[in-house]
Amino acid sequence: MSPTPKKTNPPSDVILEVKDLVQSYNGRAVLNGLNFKVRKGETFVIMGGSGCGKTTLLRILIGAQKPTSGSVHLFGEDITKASTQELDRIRLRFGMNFQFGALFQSMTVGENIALPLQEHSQVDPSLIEMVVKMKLELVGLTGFENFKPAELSGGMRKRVGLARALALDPELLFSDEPTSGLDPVMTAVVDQLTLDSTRKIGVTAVVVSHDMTSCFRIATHMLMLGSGPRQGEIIAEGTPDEIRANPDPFLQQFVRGEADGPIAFRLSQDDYLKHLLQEG
Amino acid sequence: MEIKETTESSLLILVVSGEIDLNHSPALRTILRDKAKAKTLQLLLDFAAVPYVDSSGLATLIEYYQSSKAYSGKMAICSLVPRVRSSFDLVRLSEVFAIFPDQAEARKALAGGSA
Repeated sequence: MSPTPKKTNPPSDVILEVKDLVQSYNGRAVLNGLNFKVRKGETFVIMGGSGCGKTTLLRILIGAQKPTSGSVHLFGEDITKASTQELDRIRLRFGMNFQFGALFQSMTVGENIALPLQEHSQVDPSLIEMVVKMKLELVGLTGFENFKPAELSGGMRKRVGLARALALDPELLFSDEPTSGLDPVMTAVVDQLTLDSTRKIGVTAVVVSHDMTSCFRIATHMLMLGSGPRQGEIIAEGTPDEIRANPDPFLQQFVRGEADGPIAFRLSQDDYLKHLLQEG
Repeated sequence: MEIKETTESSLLILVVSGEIDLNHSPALRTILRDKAKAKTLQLLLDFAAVPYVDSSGLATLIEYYQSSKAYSGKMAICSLVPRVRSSFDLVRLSEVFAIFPDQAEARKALAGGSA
C-alpha cells in the first residue's frame, strides 16, 4: 500500500498546464499544438463535436496515452515524461470519472467504490465501508452497495463511476461526458454534484462534454476544440460569458446546436461532384 | 495535525488543528478509540483550526459516534470552517452529529442534555 502522496503544487495556482500538445495518427493531427492552463478551483469544460479529439485529449491529460509531442504538467510534473511509478503517485491526486462508468462487472457497487481506498490507502476496512456508504449517499444511491453493475441502469452506473472517482477525495476530478445519456433531472443532479465539489469543497474539475446546457451550468472556464477543417485547434477559450459573446461562427453553430453553418454535415456541391466523378 | 486535550468535570474537549486526511485520520482514530474504550461521557471536538476533513476523517467520527452511543455517551462538534461544514453537509452528517457554531453553544447543549 502506498502512502498518500506529498503535495508538491507549483507556487502558482496552476494545477494543469498543456504546452504545444500534438497528437497525430498516420500523419493526421487530431490535436495540433494545444496550449492551455487549468487553475485550482476551476471547473474547466472542454467542448467539441464528435471526433474532435476530446477523449484523446483526456487520455493524454490523465497519462493513459503519450502524445506525439508537447508536454502536460500536472501538479507541476510533466506526466509525458513520467515513469510508471511516478505516474501512479501523481494519479493518487486525481480521480477519473469514465464515460460509461468503467466498473468491474464481477464486483458489487460497494466493492467498486472501495477499490481505490483498498489499493491506495491504509484506511481500515470498517472505515472503508462507511466511506462507501457516504459516497453512495453523495450520488443518490444509498442502499445500492450490494448490487452488481449489470443490475443498474446506465445512469446509475455513471453515478457509481463518479462515486468511485471521488473515493480518495481527489484534488482534481476528470470527467468524460458525465451527463450523456442521463435524463434532465439526473443531469441536473450530476451537475450539482460537480458544483458542490468545486465550489464548496474546493475540488478542481476538468469536464469533457458536448452537453451545452450542462457545460454552461457548471463551467467557470470553457475551451472549444475544432473539428473538420479546423480539426485539432482551439476555436475559443474563456469564461462562459466570453464564449457566449464570441462571434466565431463555428463556435456559435455548436453552442446553438444548429444544423447549418461551418461545421459541415455534408460535402460542398463542388466537393461532392469531385467525389462522385473521382476514379477508383 | 495536533490535538490538545482539556477536561472540565465530565466534559472532555479535544481542540484539533490541521488537516484530517488519509495521513492524519489514523492518529485521530487512535485517540477516539481510547476515549470510547474509557467510556467518555461527553466529548467536544473543536474544529476551528481544521481547514479540511476528508472521507476517512468523517468515517473516523462516525465510528466514534457509533461506539459512544453504546454507552450513552454524548458527542458534539463545534466551530466548523465553511469548507469543512460543506463536507459534513454533502453526505448529510450535519443531520447525524450535534454541530454548534462555537464552544460556548456546544457546552450549553451538552450541559443541558440536548447534544
